[in-house]
Amino acid sequence: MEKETVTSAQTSQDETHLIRRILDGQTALYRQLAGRYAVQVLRMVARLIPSPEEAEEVTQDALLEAYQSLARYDAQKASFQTWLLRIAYHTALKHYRQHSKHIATVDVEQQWLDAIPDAEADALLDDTTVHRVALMEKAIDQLKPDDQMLLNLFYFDNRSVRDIACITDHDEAYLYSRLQWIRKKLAIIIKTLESNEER
Amino acid sequence: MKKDKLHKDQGLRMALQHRNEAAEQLTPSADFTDKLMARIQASEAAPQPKRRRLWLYASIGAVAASIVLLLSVGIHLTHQQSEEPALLAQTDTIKAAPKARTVKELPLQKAKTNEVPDTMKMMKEKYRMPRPPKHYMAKAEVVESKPDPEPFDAELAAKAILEKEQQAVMQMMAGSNVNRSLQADFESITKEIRSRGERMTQQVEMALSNED
Repeated sequence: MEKETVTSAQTSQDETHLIRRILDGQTALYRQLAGRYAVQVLRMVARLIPSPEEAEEVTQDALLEAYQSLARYDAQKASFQTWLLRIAYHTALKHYRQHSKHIATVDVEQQWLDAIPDAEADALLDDTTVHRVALMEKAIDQLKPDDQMLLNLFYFDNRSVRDIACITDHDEAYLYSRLQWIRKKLAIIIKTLESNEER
Repeated sequence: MKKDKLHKDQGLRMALQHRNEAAEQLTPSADFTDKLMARIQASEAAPQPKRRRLWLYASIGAVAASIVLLLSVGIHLTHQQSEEPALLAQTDTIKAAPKARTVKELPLQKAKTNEVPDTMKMMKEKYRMPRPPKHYMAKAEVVESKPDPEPFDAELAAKAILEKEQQAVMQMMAGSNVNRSLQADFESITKEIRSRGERMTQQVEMALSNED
């Protein structure tokens, strides 16, 4: 654990030094910095934009945007990786909204959310049977793109809520309540899909 | 906040894992960084739209600021010109004279030159110096009753009268727009008033010396 912390600090120092040199005019060094995070950014973008070519283009947009905003990066506020993912998150959402002609999302009314007990939602989302998992995948597709991204950052990347707050520009309290809301919404969609299957 | 609940949801985690399988296999193409660096170089070579926009806003701001500056200078100068006659009345005649010359060059004031002879007549009639009034003599008597009657008091009295008269004339001059000929007349009147004042002072001194 201590070794990890030391390595992380060294990486951060190295990155800060690299960024300073890039800002001093050694532009070519950005190749090195971009190369470190290109895969991570591409994969995050690809979760929202399935086309590999399109995802790569959006990743390039994000990295170019990061280069142009490099002078504004503050190492005290967040790591370079978090800062870069924040840019990628917003670039991907923007691209998705501009290019997706129809976003098939389900609007769930608050009264429905209140109608489903917490225990029932917990049981549904904790179920690992193949059928339920498949239904959950379909249900995730019907969420809004930013909600999908939020689920991925929290459940798939196992990022801290603090990090997610930095990436998504929301405060932590909002993110907790939003995650709860998304869970309940998922549970309702799953139940609806199940009842449709029964018919 | 139910943080623990959020950390369970095994089914949800599995669904996300399955859903992201394809994305997790992706790697950037071989020329990815080359393309990126080429784009960076191209963006640096071409003027950036954001910078262009910044320049546009800056130039608009500069033009607006200069307009505001010109307007404020104009307003300030207009105020100064309208206040000049009043200032002339407050300052002494010798200093006021050159300022009056600058005022008279305005076209608006040139248009009013027809009124000048009438004004001068009126002024001459109104401000013709009368003989030394009795109360000045009386004042001298009061002064004389004091232990040390000084001729300085008489001078002060004469000066005060002179100043009052000059002020009145200046106010009149300020009220009517002054032009070049009027200025000359004004100077002659001032000289006359001064000489009368001196004469009056002499009379007062003579009266004092006679009574001594």
